[in-house]
Amino acid sequence: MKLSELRSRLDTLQRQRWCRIVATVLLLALAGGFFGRIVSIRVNWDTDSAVLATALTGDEATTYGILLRNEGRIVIDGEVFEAPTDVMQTYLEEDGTTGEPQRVIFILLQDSIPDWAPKWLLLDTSLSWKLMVITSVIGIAIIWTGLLVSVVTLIFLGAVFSGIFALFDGGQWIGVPVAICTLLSAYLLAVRILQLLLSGSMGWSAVAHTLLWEASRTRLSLAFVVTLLITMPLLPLTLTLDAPIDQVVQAYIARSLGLAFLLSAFMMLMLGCSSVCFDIRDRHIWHLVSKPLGRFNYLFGKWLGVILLGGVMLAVAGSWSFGYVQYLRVSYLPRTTAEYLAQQDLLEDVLVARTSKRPIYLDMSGKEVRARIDELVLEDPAYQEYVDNDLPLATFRVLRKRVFDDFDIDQRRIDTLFDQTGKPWKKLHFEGLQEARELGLPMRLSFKIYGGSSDEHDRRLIGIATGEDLGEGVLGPFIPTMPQHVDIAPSAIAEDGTLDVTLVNLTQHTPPAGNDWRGPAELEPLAMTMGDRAPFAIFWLADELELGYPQGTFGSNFFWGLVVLWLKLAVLAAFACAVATTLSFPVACLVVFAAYAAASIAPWIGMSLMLYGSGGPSPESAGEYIQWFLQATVRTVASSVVYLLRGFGELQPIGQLIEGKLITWAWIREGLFMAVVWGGGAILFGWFVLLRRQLAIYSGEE
Amino acid sequence: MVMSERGAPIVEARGLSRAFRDFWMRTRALAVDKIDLDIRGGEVFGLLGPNGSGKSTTIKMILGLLKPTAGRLSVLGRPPSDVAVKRHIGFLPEESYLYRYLTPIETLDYYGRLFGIGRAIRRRRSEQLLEMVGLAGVAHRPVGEFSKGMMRRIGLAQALVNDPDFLILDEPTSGLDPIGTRQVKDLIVDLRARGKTILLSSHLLGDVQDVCDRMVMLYGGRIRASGTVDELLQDTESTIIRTGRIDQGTIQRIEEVLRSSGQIIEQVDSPRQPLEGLFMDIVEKARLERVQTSGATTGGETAEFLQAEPAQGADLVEQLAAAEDGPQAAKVVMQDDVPKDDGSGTVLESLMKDSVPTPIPARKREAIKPTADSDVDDSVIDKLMGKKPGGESDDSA
Repeated sequence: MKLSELRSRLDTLQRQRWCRIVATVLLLALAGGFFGRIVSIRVNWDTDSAVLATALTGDEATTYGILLRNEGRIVIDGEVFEAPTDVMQTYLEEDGTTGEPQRVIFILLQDSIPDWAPKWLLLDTSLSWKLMVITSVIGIAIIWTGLLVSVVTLIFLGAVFSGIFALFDGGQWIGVPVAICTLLSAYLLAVRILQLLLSGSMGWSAVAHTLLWEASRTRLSLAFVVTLLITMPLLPLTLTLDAPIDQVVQAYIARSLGLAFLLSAFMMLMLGCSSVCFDIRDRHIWHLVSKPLGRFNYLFGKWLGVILLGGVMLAVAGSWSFGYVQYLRVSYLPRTTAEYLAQQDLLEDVLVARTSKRPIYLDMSGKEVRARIDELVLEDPAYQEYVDNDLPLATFRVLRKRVFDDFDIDQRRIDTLFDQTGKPWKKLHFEGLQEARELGLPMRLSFKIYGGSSDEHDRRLIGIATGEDLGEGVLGPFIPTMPQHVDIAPSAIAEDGTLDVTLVNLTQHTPPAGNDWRGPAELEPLAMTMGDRAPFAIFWLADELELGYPQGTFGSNFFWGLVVLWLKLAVLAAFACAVATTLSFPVACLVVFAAYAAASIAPWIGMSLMLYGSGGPSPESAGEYIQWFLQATVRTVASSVVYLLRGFGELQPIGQLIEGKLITWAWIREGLFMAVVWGGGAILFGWFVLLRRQLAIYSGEE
Repeated sequence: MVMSERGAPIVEARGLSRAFRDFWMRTRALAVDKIDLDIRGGEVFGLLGPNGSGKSTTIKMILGLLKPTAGRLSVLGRPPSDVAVKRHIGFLPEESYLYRYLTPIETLDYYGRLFGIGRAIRRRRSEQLLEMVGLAGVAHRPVGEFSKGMMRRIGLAQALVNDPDFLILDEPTSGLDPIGTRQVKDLIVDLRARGKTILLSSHLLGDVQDVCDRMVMLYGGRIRASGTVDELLQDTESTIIRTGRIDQGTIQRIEEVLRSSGQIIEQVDSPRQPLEGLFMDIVEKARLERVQTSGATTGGETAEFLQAEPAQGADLVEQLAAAEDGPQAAKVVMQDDVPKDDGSGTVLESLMKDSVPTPIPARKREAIKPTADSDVDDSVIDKLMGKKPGGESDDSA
């Protein structure tokens, strides 16, 4: 019997109702049996552990201890607990007491855990229940969507390759084939479910449904899908597992989600362009427009299909990424203090969803601006000619910008002791912290300080106090340009939800060794005394100093992060579909990839434009004119790109997830706005082009 | 399904023109030049003309793929770009532009969904259509693996999935084997019997002659001739008598009779079996012997949902033929039930008594069988195409 024939027969078999029912019962029995057993082992462990703890720390502790030490065996309520006597003698004193009862309990119970039971699963029974439900639901979906044969074949192949790796001691590679096949199965299942959802008789759903076939059967898009699904399980191999666990997890989230977004974006751009371009080029569109399918419905269907497929890629890769992060979390067992601290950082800094508040920065009124401009004119000899005359508009604008910039930076700068502009500290005012106060949520002030030569190898001292009183502050080191944080008690928040935090510039002092914050300390005398170092003014960027507190779980934050990424992909897909209505495939690809690149780097372009200014004297020679013209052209193009696309580039949920920051509704709203307004606008443009465009060509002789 | 009323205008074109321009807006080609066209409900209308004569451009305008540069065009009383009109139209382009990655069953399902047809009906129609076009055996193979003929078959099936009132067939028999060609022509007759309107574009003159009620002949974007098939092909100068095989003596006696009325026999010939008939016989024999084929099979009867109701089908055909007005063919076809010539001269005598050409009582399906010794009058087309009588075409035309 040929393989194809066998597969065909199995396929027919799996579509039979009785076969599906039998498979479902088997699946539920297997899932229940496996995860139920895991939970049962954990429950028994907890029960026995409690019994032993009572025995080894209760009234009869010494009796049991001596028995264990001498015989390596005790019986409690008819249950026997055994361990080698030489091991017991290590932990038990001669009088039967022990300083490490937990260790003794662990040794007595460790044989009760079978080898096949994953330890990380035993650590969290709720995870076992969740996995049982998830596995059952996915399994039932596979059985009832007719994918059982495909999935079983894939998993079997994966198991075979994993077995081969295991035979040759493949180490970390052993699980990769099974993981790849699992991801492929998940992708197949997701696409099949989408096709079922799109099986209605509406024109747009038919177009979207067919696009899913196209993506699954044409090499162009399949290449990206397969690359992603193969790369995801390989990513853990690129991690430096010796690094602190919080950094490992951050690196993994950054790489996995970054790769998933990048490959999904590439796939969607290519698929959006190819699907529409090839429909027009290969004249499929002749068939389509001769059917009762409006051109908007056609384009909308293409867009929908592409974004749904991108959603599937993101969901499969994201689920894998989330699952692996959870695996890293539960399987990590700290052995040293540093590892324990790293685990704490992971749980408190990374796998959380902190909301952030920035200090209230003031604005200048029109009168204040005008008054300051007048002062500048009087102070600056360059403007002496305007003391009694009106300022030209261009000069006024230059001065106004200078005033605004000075005012702005002044609020984010702390001068040194020697500067005569003010005291070497700055009070920052926060509002809207009622929730943190009421819930007693621990807060964290995160900041990045610049100053001097902003040398990241330097180490300086900074003081922080809450309220007006500098007498009870804390001291700590900071490294210029590097992110730092200090915890602040919620009790410091006033009843109205406001909080004042004062930062003190102590750069003239060498900080003590270590990274700990010390206090309480008298900050004002320290700030006003000379130190052993040359001080410098310190400053921070507006978005790099904020106060955060946990307001959600990592799971929900991760989900919303994926949603924002997906909304960004929807914009790209719309752009690709729209451009493809009017350009040929290669040109459309060039345009959309250039736009994607420009949108991604728009924030950096914006920063460059801001930092480097217009610069340069007025041109005098022909060469300078040419140079000026080229610079002006580049600047105009760059400014346009920044103006149009900055929003896309700045919406970076992956960065939020890595830093454990909450994806707020504002982020989701912005993503939704982009998808609907930008994406919808692009689709309307494409629709307009399709309406105007003559879809057929002249096929006769000229 | 909205049936078009017989005789009601389906397509109306007045002064329809379509020019193609280059980048500088200079006219590159005037593909269609001020044509007036009326296609009426229930008729099979032929668009005839050589390559580049404007047939496809006219069809593209009817479908809304191209906009006319001048003139007025309405389809089912609405502008061609109106999406609602498309619900009643089936279209087979000159080449089947189908998704190569879909299987035939998925292709038909897709196009069925575009018409908003429910799942159960879609499935039933898809199966029937694939059976009809002989692709049921390859229903799950990607279309990209198909031969041109198989592509045409699936293209034809997709054009019929909505049971269209108005079917536009652009070169429907191109790429098809004789079986497929025969089936297409049978199908057209069936659909006409159900009151469907069909626009048939072709440069295969035999196809058009066999099935069309009316036709226009295009050349250089203009209509050069139009009318019913009989009007255009009527030959009042000669008479054809068809009978069983007769011996030389009988021929001589006939000749004598004709000479007495001032006529002579110009040609006496024994017809050969038509090649199509021979081919069909061989294929049918092979099919009965269950010879395997990896491609399309011979196909089945017209799909059930496209057939007229059993009791009405033949009647409708009869009614259609009976309802036809206008001049009838000048040929006299002797029916099988006419007494055979037994040498006694009774046949001849009866003919002599009724020297007026006998009208055809009814259009029968047999009549659309092309014959080997084709008696088609190609002179009109030949003239248009620059052919000399009996000679090769003039390529410079």
